[in-house]
Amino acid sequence: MHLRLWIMVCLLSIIAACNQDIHICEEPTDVKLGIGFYHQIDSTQYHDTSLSVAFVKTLHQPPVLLIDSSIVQSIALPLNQLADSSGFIIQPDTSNTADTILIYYARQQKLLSPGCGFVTFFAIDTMRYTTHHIDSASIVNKSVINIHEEHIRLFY
Amino acid sequence: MKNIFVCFISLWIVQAGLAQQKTDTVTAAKDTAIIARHDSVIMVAHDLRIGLDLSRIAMPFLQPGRRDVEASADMQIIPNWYGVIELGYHQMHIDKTDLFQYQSHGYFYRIGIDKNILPSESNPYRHDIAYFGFRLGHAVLQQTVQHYHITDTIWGNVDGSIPRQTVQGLWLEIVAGLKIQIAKYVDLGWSVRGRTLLNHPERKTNVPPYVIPGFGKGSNRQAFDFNYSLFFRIPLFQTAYIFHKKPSSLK
Repeated sequence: MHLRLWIMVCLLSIIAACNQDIHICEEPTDVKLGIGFYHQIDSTQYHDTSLSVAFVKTLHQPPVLLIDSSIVQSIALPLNQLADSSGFIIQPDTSNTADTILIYYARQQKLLSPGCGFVTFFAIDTMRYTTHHIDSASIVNKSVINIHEEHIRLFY
Repeated sequence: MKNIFVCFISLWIVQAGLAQQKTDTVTAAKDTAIIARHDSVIMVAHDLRIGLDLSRIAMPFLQPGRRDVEASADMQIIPNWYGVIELGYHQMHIDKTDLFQYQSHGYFYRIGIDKNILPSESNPYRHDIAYFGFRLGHAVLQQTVQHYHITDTIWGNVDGSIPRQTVQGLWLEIVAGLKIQIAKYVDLGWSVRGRTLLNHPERKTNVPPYVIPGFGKGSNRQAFDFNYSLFFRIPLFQTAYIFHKKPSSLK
């Protein structure tokens, strides 16, 4: 009798386990461009720095405010999934002028899991930027597939 | 074909017998303590056993939208060694209206061998076997995403579709199980299987297959499975095999 009960419990557990991954999303679905702020000491040395940001907005119209009045060492920005480029306006709160950065990339929609659905992965190609406050910039990781990594370094 | 096979086997038995006589003579001359062998001849039934996996009938209840059919055929090639072919079809439909609609269908086959570990003398009139074996599996799957939706409140929502893709899977598996005779030509059996994927189908597509037919979940490199099958045996022919018993020594 006990054996039959155990078999029933095991079968029900298997049935429940089989359907879990279709209904529940257990993975992070955010995919964002990670930008770190750095201070260049000389041609070979630099260290990460905090930037007092007045705002970060999208370049397209109407602009969307992404970050407002904060001191940050790094930011994570959403890339445009409908186009092969994204533009952002970054203005430090020490100035009235802002810098614009343009990121060019290739996109691919990927099924993350049946529970989570599709996300867009990006492969960065190039970037362009103004130099009102930015000294230089570099792409350190071209593959944008999550929210945890740093992809671009901006030197102030 | 049958006559040729029987003829070949007869020649082999005669040759084996002659060789045995020669060996026995030499052995007897060298060591008189070893006595003659007592070889025995057994008839091996080469029945074609065709099976239908009954456990797949339950699949739509375990996973709505999934349909699986699996059949097998095996035959004893030499005593206690069976050649096995397994074939199947798989169909999957996932409809998550707010996220995506996915459809796939495909087929698979496995080829391999089983080794019977039940002593053949235990009951020569029955066809029961307890076995372990190996399989090499291959699956071809076609999948389509009719629609997907990604919510993006900053830049705008993304809607799209992905045309038909073909994905292949290749794997090795070990199997162990039982086949028990329940009627004259009918057997019932179960098996447990462990599988390991040999290729990386998920790397070649942006839609990793949800299920690889005949293997299991496409997100895993290893899979375990259980089969419960009904078999029908078709007697084809029998061949005689000679079993050499080890010589016994005089004390």
